[in-house]
Amino acid sequence: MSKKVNDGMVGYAFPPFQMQIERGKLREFTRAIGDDNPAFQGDDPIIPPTFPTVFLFWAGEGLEGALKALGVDIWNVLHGEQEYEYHGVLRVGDVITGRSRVESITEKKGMTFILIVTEYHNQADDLILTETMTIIVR
Amino acid sequence: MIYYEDVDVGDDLPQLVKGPLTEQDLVRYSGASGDFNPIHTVPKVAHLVGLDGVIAHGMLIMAYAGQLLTDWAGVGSVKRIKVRFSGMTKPTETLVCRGQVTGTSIEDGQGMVSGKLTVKGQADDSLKLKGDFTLILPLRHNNL
Repeated sequence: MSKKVNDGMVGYAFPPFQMQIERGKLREFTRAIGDDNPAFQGDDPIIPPTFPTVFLFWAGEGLEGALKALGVDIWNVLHGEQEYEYHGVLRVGDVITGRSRVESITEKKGMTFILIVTEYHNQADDLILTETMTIIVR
Repeated sequence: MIYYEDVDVGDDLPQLVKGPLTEQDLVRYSGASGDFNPIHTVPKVAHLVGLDGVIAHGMLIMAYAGQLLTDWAGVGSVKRIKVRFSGMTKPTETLVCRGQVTGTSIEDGQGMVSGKLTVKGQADDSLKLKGDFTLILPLRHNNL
């Protein structure tokens, strides 16, 4: 069976995106997930571990943009795995720059697994976070 | 506050129960996250793709797993969290998040605690996601 996704996309780099972490967006997010930890309401709170999904969808192209670039129909995909690895902390006020790339495309049991890695640098240009998203194409 | 020295392999994290989930929660999370895929909010679209109603965002369920960790070890403690999504979650479900410590070590003067976690439906024990994590905990006695 032929691959559903073009191998030639491995290594493809999406346009970089930038976003400032805002207090209001953080509050909207913590309310949406029902997390009332007072630590998120201090002066320069650290973000919850999965908050960076906001970067990808509000500043980046989100899943839809990535799939469009890959020529994949959104109705045929599943979100298989998700990983965040922090190399530092991100707080309200920080400005992140995200760079996503197609890390690998592999075929297993008739399904195609696409790994998209996004590296986030802060305003000091330190690498703060590496995100790995696994998308499964049925 | 939890210190590295207080943690042993095999320790269970305090359980976190979330829900019952409502359609409103999914609308809120769509707006907050920016993931507006209509299978999470528009029943008509969910039916078109063969579901019997809207389903929760996987990332919402992962956020609960994140809260399991930060409730226990503090905001900013999470070095790494990785999950594999296993099953769909529907409104009305109540979820139980559990975690367990599988390893401890001191690296570069930092207390590292690793472990595994699950999120399951309370009613039928159905697995929503499972994963693993690494936390950085403060040392009570920093002799460096």
